[in-house]
Amino acid sequence: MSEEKVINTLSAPDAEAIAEKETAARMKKALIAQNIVKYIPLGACAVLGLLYVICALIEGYDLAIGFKVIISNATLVALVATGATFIFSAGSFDLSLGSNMLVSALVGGLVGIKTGSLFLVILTCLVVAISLSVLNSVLASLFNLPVFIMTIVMMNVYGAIATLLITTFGTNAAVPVPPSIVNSLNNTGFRIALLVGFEVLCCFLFYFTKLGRKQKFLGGNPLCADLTGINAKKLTILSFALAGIGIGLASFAMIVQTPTLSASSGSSVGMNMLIALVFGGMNMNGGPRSKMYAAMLGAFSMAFLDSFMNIYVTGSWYLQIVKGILFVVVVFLFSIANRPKMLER
Amino acid sequence: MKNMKKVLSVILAFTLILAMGVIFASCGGKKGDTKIGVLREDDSSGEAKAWEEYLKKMGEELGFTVDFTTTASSSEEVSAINTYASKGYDVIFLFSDDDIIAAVDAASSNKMYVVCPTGHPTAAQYEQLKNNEYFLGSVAPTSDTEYEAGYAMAKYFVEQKGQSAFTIFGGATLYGADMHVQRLAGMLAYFCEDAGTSYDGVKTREELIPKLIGKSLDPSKFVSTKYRITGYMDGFAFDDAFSTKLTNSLEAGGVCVLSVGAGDTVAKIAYGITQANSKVTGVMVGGVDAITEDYASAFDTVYAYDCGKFASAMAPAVVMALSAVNGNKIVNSDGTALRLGMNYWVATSKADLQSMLASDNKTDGYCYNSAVINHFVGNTLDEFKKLCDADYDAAKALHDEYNK
Repeated sequence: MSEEKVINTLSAPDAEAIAEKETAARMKKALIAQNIVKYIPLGACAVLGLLYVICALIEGYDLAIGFKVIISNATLVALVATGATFIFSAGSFDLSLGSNMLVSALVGGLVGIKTGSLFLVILTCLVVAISLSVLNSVLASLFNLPVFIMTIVMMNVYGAIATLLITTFGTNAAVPVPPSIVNSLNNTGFRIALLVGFEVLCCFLFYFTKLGRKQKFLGGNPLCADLTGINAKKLTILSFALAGIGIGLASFAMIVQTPTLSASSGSSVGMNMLIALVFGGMNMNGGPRSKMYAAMLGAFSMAFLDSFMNIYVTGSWYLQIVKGILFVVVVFLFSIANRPKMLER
Repeated sequence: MKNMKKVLSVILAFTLILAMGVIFASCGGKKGDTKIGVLREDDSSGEAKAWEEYLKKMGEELGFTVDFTTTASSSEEVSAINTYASKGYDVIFLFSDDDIIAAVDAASSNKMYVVCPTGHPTAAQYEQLKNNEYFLGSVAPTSDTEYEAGYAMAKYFVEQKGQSAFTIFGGATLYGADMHVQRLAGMLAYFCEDAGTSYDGVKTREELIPKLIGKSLDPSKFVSTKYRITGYMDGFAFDDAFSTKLTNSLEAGGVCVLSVGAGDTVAKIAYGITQANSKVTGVMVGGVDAITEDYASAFDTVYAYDCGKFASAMAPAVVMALSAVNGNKIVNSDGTALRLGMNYWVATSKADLQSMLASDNKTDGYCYNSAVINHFVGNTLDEFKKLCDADYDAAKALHDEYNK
């Protein structure tokens, strides 16, 4: 007897009960799948971390130094990516973060050379980074352009400014900041404190204030956000300003780590930041599924991956290729997992 | 609450991994044999490959391990140094120099020696580094050698080839790269020896360098009754704009191209222009770069003069590293780190270059082979200088002396 005939023979209340049970089972299954997808980034980070630890031990690496490298590598990327989460969660995009960071570091470094003041270096890095970041969004608003187009243009402009600063004020293709200004901070403790402090601040703003809710709402559905009275332009400018804080701190951290600044300083941060966000499980369309901690998670995943690959492969170009492939794979997997549940924007 | 749980689980996961790292940290450690890590930005040029082959071959013969890491920024440099430290490496060869101070700091804090075999720190950087016990020093052509290389090249084309109209490729002069500035200053200084020639109102090396550094060369400021500079390019983007400028300059008569670097690439582009443009004839290109197979092939096109480092140019760095690891560090008389010059080899024909390559290659043997290196390891500074100062003929004599 076919299933259709069995259902037809049931009374209406029985059929309803069966349908309800089936719906509940489907929802449970969807929830389980959703939870699995949600924890994939965390699992991936843990797996990469374990893989690195095991392989490093087998190959005779000193893990104490290895973990210093991982924290150092993750810090710059995590600072920029955590700040950028404000931009991405509101459904915006910024490709000029890496070049903004270089210009901020150069101006901060030049102030350091002139004054010898650590306080002025960090202040300048922050002011320049926030100003340049806000400039992107203000110009986009002024010309009524999509922000990401503006940031592509500004990426080239900032790159040119960096070259101009190096050629005008630098020596031998670099701007050498006296290490004596920043040497006292060049340690793992400072990096952890800087990262944790900024992460806590951002998590607080994102999860426990109206700002985070508004950003996720704007990223999820700009039209509804507009209809509920959210000022999209004002919120976007604020998001870019917050991202600027992350860039400013990262540029300062870069000066602390490598005080001689050249055109290549921080060159990989812009790309690595995007990959870190995806690795960390950030929804690149923004909206309610945005996660502030994704940036840090992704940055550490990448740092573990870098260190793991460095055991066997020596060449940054190979690393970039592997990261690029993983980026595409992770985006593909997330798109499969999210497709049936996503609303059209 | 739900968010707090997520944040907490992330923090817990990190703590777990970090704790594991700390627990197992003591398991790692140094191994017995000498290990050298090489940091470089260029891993694909003929020069980079020649040095890699040389170091690997010497590693096999002299019993040291050598590994290579390609970096693209100062952060990557420091990260790579720490990675080598975590695997117990003893020495870093720093070909890349994004931030030499940070690189030496990173290496010395992990008790690893550093040698710069391809370039020197600036005077200010050297002052900061010279007393660092882990910085062994630098052995590479000095600013004077670079200046003389540019001077000699210009002189060769004027006096031996009868050229008077030039196109100049200035490489990273705009960025203030000292070696390129010095080579360019050398070329101009030679031209300015003529009474009717000056650049921007000046004539000597000391006056020319401030006019060039970070500013490039402006052909309109070159005044001469004897010579012409019809075009100038810099930067390493060999794109359409470069080809257009080169074509215009060649068409304007500046058929002798003097290049401060990447002479093979410049020669290939110039050769392509001559093949496509019958108006352009008699083109010849000279460059300061490397003695490699690539340049031997370039002589088949329009390349006519090659000045550069050779595969065995890594020998002094190996000597310094092995001497230090064996406890006989070679230092200046006042105990500071070395800052020694090194000579280029010069070839003015394919036959010259092939003869140099024949005496310094992986298959037939290197000019500075393990026997030569063994003589200099742990030897005196004066003796060591003989190895660094040798030109091609002196290098061959050293080879013959220690391979009897």
